[in-house]
Amino acid sequence: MSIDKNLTWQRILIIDAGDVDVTQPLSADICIVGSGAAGISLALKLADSGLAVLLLEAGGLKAEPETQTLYSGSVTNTLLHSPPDTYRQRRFGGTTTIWGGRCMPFDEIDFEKREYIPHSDWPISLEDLEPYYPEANRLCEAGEYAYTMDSAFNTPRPPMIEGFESENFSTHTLERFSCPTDFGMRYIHKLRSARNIQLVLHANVINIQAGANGKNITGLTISTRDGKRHQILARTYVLATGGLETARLLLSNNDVHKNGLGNDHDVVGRYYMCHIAGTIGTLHINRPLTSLWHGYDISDDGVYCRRRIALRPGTQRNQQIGNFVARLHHPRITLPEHKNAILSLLYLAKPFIPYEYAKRLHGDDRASFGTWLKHVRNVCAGPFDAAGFAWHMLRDRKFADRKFPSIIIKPKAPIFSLDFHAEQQPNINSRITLGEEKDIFGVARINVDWRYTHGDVDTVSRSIALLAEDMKNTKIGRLEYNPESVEYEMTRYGAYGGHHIGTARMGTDRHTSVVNSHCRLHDIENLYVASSAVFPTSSQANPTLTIVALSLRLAEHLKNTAA
Amino acid sequence: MKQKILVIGSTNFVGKCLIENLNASDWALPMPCTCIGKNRKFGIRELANALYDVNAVINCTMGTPASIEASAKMLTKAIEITNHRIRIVHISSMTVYGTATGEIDEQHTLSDASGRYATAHIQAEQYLADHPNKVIIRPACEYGPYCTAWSERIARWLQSGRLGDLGAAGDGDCNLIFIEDLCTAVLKSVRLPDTINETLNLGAATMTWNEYFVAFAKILGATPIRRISKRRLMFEQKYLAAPLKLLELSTQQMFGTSSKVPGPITSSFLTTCSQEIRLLNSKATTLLDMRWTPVHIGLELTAKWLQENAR
Repeated sequence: MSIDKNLTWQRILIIDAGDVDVTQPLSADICIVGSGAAGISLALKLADSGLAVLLLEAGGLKAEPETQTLYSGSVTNTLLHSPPDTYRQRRFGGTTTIWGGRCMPFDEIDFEKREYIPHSDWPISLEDLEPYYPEANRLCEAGEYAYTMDSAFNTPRPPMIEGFESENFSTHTLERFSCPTDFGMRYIHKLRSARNIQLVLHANVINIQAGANGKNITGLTISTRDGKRHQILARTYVLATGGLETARLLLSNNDVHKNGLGNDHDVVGRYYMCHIAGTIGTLHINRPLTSLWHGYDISDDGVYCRRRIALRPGTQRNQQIGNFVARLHHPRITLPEHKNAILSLLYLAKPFIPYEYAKRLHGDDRASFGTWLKHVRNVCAGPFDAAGFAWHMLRDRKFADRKFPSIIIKPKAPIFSLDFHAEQQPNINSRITLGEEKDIFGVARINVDWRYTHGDVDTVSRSIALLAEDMKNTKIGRLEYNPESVEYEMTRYGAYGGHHIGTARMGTDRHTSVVNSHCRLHDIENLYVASSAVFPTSSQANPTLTIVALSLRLAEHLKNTAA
Repeated sequence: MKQKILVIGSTNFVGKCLIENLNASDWALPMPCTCIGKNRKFGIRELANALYDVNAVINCTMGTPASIEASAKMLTKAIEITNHRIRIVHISSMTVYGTATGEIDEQHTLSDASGRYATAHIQAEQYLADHPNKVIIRPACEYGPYCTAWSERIARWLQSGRLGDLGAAGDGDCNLIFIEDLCTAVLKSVRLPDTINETLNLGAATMTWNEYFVAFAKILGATPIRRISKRRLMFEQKYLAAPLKLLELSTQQMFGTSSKVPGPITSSFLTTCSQEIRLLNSKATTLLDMRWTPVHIGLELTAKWLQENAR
């Protein structure tokens, strides 16, 4: 497929690697590998900078099953981690083509060195990243950079849980939701109009050549699926390929650096984190439903916002546990005992829901015919509820450009379950390695060995226990749960999908980190990483907004360096 | 003694504002003039006679492309008759830059690519090209009190939910000029000393159109602002624009006003919203010593005016 035929910098903006003259290397000042949230944000920030930018994308403009299979690999424990070709997309726009859109910045405490969280130390602080968050928010189409109720809303809103005041938890912070924005389709016109950016599709990077002294990268080899190869020459290279593929590319290029690029100290691929998430317990609140708000607020700029119950930093320090948030949630969908027509409708609609969402909605539970029948009965008992919900999902999600972010069920009584999302601690033994199997280019596929620690269980267990205690002490309600079940519930669906963090971590010590504070590999002068791979810790926050903010910061660094 | 300023096109919103500003000044006496359309009171001869009696002419004719061209032509002929090197301030438009993108100063090539209005404005500028004492002003989109196209109409669309965050379709640069700034610039152009022959861009892009719509909607209280889908915009252009335009024209014809009619969201409007063009106005800033009104203040004044003049 060829979009623009003439190969000149001024005119061609999008080309297909298959159409490029193989005798001439493609050259640029900066070569960005990967066109997801990081790659596109970086390219946009470099637009009209005077620097020639090559943006390489392994896939095409749309999903291609053959290309997607290049992401497949193995998983050590398939109960704990989804297959590597799920929750990420090898195509223009990357995983933003399927993401959920939840945005929030990291908290100040996430950047701190916390003695009680092993290996927790960022070489930068929130202050370093804060100037880039508003623009990141804009690119994610998440509205204003305002993440508390006071800053986001001019008019008073009802409290999340009336009367709930806790020293351990706050309820005034927000998560904001992107459309969710498919960065590729949303910003393709910006890339086209920038005179210095060339996007090359179907450009699979199969080799990264290090110079003889190992201190710089001299070129890349790209290949189309049918084997047409090209040489890429640039002054600077940026890997914006996500947490898994970054580790794969660094580890598999071992011609000069025998352990792989940036891996002299065996750090690449280690400390692999996702988030710890799950649903637990039954929360009975002693307040009328009118005193509770568990749904979305819509900001003036039209963005869906949701409040959370967030563990305060002081409590994290006192308790020596990681970051944690929770939301009021509907009962477990799979259990027909909830007698809720809408939840049963969702259960029955499982075949029509994408894998990435269905997994957390339903798990992989195999239901009996009897269970299935009970769900049908629930739907039949509440046809108007089910029809109303179906209409809402069609109008506000399926056909809306700004989509209603998730399933919100208005309960008939003030009874909820607790949906939690917690920080996973860096763990040297949780890692991505190269497997035995190779792809069609001869590049080794990855093996994912995701592991959690007692510290992770501790974060969730103690946070939930504290919340239960606070609910009881404030007489707001009672959280019924089995403390013994916490570990099971937090791993019921395995690692939270799509958040691939820490595999090329940032730090000052080259023995324990891969990149420096500017995301440059410690020992390679012109190779950078723009990805959640560089996060040393995972926070409670979803990573996309911070990935974009870090990419914008990197773009500024590259511009300054070039100048 | 006050200077007499002939204002051609005094009945449109820019003309009305200019008359107000001239009246409010201590140095000018405005002389309204309508030389185009059914209410015309001036032919070429009358216009030529009037030129003998005034110190400067402001041509701010708007309306149809034909009237824009005709008024400039008539003015040129009247000047030829009088051979009077009178100061002319001619209000053109940024549409003369066509579909150009990037940073645009007054030297940029003119293009009629954006339609008949652009052609008319280019033609009008060409009629006046040989006149030695003139300031041609190329304003951005005028907003503020009285501004129908970029304030009143936008407010109606925002309040009815037809306009909002347009996504990629609203990523274009929003080049705005507050109406009072336009009037100030015109009046200062009239008073520039000596013979002058300048062309000035007025206004600049400080935000995208999406940001303008969001900011305006917030001030109007038309919130939460809606995300308008591509599908919806296509429907507006393809199926609603033509019938609404017809309705607007016929209502205008029958009742003299079409303010109650929901105006059409046309493809040219959407083209403007996506055009990445940034007017450079440093020449006007320096030459006229302009202090531009910040957009948020301009919008607040506009919203206040809209509230007071709710129709």
